[in-house]
Amino acid sequence: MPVEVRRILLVEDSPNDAELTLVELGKHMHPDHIVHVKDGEGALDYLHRRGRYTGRPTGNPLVVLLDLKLPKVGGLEVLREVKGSPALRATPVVVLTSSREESDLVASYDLGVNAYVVKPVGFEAFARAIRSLGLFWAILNEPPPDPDE
Amino acid sequence: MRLRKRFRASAAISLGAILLLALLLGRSYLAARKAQAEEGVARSLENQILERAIVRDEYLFRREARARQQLEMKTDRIQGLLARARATFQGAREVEVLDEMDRSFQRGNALTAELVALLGPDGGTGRARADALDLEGRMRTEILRLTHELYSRADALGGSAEARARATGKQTAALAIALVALALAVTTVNAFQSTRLVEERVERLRRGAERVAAGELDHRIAIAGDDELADLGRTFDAMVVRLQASYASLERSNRELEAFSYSVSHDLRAPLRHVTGFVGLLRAHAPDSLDAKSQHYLGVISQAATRMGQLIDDLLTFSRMGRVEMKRGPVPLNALVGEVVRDLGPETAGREMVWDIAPLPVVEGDATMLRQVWTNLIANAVKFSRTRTPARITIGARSGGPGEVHVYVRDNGVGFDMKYAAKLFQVFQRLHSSEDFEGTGIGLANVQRIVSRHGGRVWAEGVVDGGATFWMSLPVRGA
Repeated sequence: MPVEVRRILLVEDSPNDAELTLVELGKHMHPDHIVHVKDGEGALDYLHRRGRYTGRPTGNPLVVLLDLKLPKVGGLEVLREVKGSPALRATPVVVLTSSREESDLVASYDLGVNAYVVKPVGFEAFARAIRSLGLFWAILNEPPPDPDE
Repeated sequence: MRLRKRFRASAAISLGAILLLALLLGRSYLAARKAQAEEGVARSLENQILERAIVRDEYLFRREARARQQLEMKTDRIQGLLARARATFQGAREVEVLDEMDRSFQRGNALTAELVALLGPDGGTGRARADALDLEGRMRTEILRLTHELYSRADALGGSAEARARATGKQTAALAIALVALALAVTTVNAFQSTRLVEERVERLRRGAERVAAGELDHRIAIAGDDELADLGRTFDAMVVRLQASYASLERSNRELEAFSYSVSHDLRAPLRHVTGFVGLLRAHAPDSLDAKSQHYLGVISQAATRMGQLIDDLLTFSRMGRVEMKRGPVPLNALVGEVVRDLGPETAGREMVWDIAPLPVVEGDATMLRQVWTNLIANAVKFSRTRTPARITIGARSGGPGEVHVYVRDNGVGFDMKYAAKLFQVFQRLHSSEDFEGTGIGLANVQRIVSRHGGRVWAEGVVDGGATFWMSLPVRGA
């Protein structure tokens, strides 16, 4: 079985935020190793290998960078499903959001989020945050082994 | 039943019993008086009968005119007394006795008159006297018998009057006892029931009020009944229903407000990030094609967006300070102030600072919120004394009203004009240009909001270029 390259899954509906994030991450890794979906439904399709991701190579992403405010299926819903699924539970999920609301923080940690990052307003701070996240989760962190197919 | 009715019923029963008792006693008194009168008549009759017997014997023995007159007087007396007795005694049995007495009396009188006539005024002579004496002997026996009969009947009359008086007395006593017992029993049962009812109702009201006070707004007291306390319970329930409705509407508008600030925090910040983000990308992408002026413009765009982000963050903090639930507990101010001063280290680095912090009390409040207050006030003092060497900041306390303390932060900075003192605590109000002193103008508005949520108030004193003092009153721990 060919060893599949493991990717970062970016769940972000705002094209501007997505572009900024992809530019910053692209400085440190191959752009093909980043999968960008625009809503919660796309994220779940990718994770469960269904819909238009039915034929994608096996393997869970290294990390899911998850916005909370998403069309169709919200970020908290995605988080609940990931952490409630035996096959996905070990996959790290980082909430990356504009919301500093306590209710979001509490709900995310209750559902078992691995980290919660508020997007900084300033560009420098934002770029720094994305860079740190990418370096930590894609390079420094040892991901959980993929469950046997 | 209404409690008022119950209490009135008890009072009415007691009053009725007292009235009936009075009537009974009156009746008994009247009966006793009547019996006394009857007995008096009877006893007078007895006496007169006895006396007349003596007078008659005297006359029959001495034949004196004086004795005869006396005898006639006594006879008239008895006649009169018998007439009075007829007026006094009404019982069938007594009337019968009186009739018999009348008959004995008449017969005795007739015999006496016959005897007197027979003997004549001088007692008679010869054969007539001998016959008369013989007859007299028999007549006297008969007269004596009749007198005795008359006497014993008068005695019986007296006895019967006395017996009747005693019977009436006994009856009165029995009735009075029964009446008092009945009235006592009824009023006692009524009082017992009323007390139990009131106790039960009050307890239910108390428990219900306690539960509602503890926040159980869907609790209802629901007392069935038509008494005043049941009414009170229903009024209370109606009040709680309204309270619950206002609470629900308050919660709804709070939720709306939260949803609003959620949108603000999420949706307003995103475009700002994009502005700064793409300005950053532009700078990085084409560093050589941008001249100094273009670089400056980009810098202004970026700064303005960053500042707007700061304003939004401050507004959100301000809004949150008004909404979040307070977690009250003891807050030792000296420890809190120490931490805040330490946290402000980067701002005071390289400056000559003189801190004068007096012993401060332990207040009652939300530690996180109060930290925000002290951070704002002390950071302001540090900021506005930036032009002073040394900068002098004094923090102290004095006792305020009962249960509260007044604390202050004083600096020797640029101060302010007292005519703008009222504007200091308003949102986005600033008394200095942001070129001189940075800031969004939300800090003191936050201070006021938090202190007022603690039940305190804030005020300030200042002189232009003469420093400023910010005061607040806070509830003391254990007050």
